[in-house]
Amino acid sequence: MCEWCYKHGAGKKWYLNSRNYLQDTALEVGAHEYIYELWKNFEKVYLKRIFGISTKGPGYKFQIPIIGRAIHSYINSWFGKEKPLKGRDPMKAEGHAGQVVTLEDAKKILELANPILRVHCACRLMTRGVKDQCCLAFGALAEMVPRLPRYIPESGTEPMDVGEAQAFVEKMQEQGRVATVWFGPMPYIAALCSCELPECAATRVRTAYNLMSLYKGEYVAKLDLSKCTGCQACTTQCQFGAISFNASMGHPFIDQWKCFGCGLCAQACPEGAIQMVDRLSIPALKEVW
Amino acid sequence: MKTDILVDWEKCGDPRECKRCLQVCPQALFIMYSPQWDSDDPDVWRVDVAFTDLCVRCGDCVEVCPDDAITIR
Repeated sequence: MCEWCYKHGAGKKWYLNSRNYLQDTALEVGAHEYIYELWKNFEKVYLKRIFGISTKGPGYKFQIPIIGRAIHSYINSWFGKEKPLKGRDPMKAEGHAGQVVTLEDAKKILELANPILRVHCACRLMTRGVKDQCCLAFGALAEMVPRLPRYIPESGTEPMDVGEAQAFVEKMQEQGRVATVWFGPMPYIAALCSCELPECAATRVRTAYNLMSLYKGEYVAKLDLSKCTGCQACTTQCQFGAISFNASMGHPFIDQWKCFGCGLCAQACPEGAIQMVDRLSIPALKEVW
Repeated sequence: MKTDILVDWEKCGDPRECKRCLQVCPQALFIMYSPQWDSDDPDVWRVDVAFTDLCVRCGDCVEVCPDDAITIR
């Protein structure tokens, strides 16, 4: 279990702790105001503030000896910021971090969240100008989004029931999208998204700059060589560059150091040869988030 | 080599209608936004570039822009 599970999981995974979905929790952390400001200023948060001064070439800044590392760790501290409980800065995305989840866990999350509203993905809208209603907003976010017209889908703001939402996430996974669950702000849980590189803002800053806006999942993909037929169905699924096909061995190579534990490869495998194993069961990977 | 991408907002029209640069960029570095929240004024909407250090300088955005508003430096 990751650090968030210890702090906010009450013995379970943090995203399976029903307390983190309650209206009381939302009110305690000021989720309504926070999330409204964050979504209202989404592009500005991304473009101007995430990297302190601007996002113009943050990679250049991070490369500066010593100072670059200091800037990097300072920015990193924002995503996991827990205090003050109320009044964290939405313009810095303080306390707004997420984690990759498998389809199975995503379905459990949807049983805990209420209401569930489908909204336009803010990331795809700003980076590609595409209106893609693939993000599932919960509770406080579902209450606030209807005030922000550009995120409201043509189909309206009718909440989804649990079964519908689960079927929807399953469809998203079939399309190769990674399920991610989001604090807004920590420990309140505000959304379940279906992310894709390169549009997803958090996945992008994690993969390009190793900023901890998105944690790796609680699981790691493990290949059972006795079942693998070498069909390569899994090899096109990975968004994190963790799978390549190894021709000389006749089976894929899954780099578990790079695996984010989304489970897309396991689902794609017709033989059931890829298992999602608990990250904690692999000694060297239990500290790798 | 440091890359800087300049977008001339005077020349750029309504990115919500055009969005060619947003969609053509192989690295998806363009961002469209309105500094005034939910303004419907096309002049207010603009594109800007994040993460210029990830730009591969392919020049596709310069080529695709109908208003010649993009310069790579």
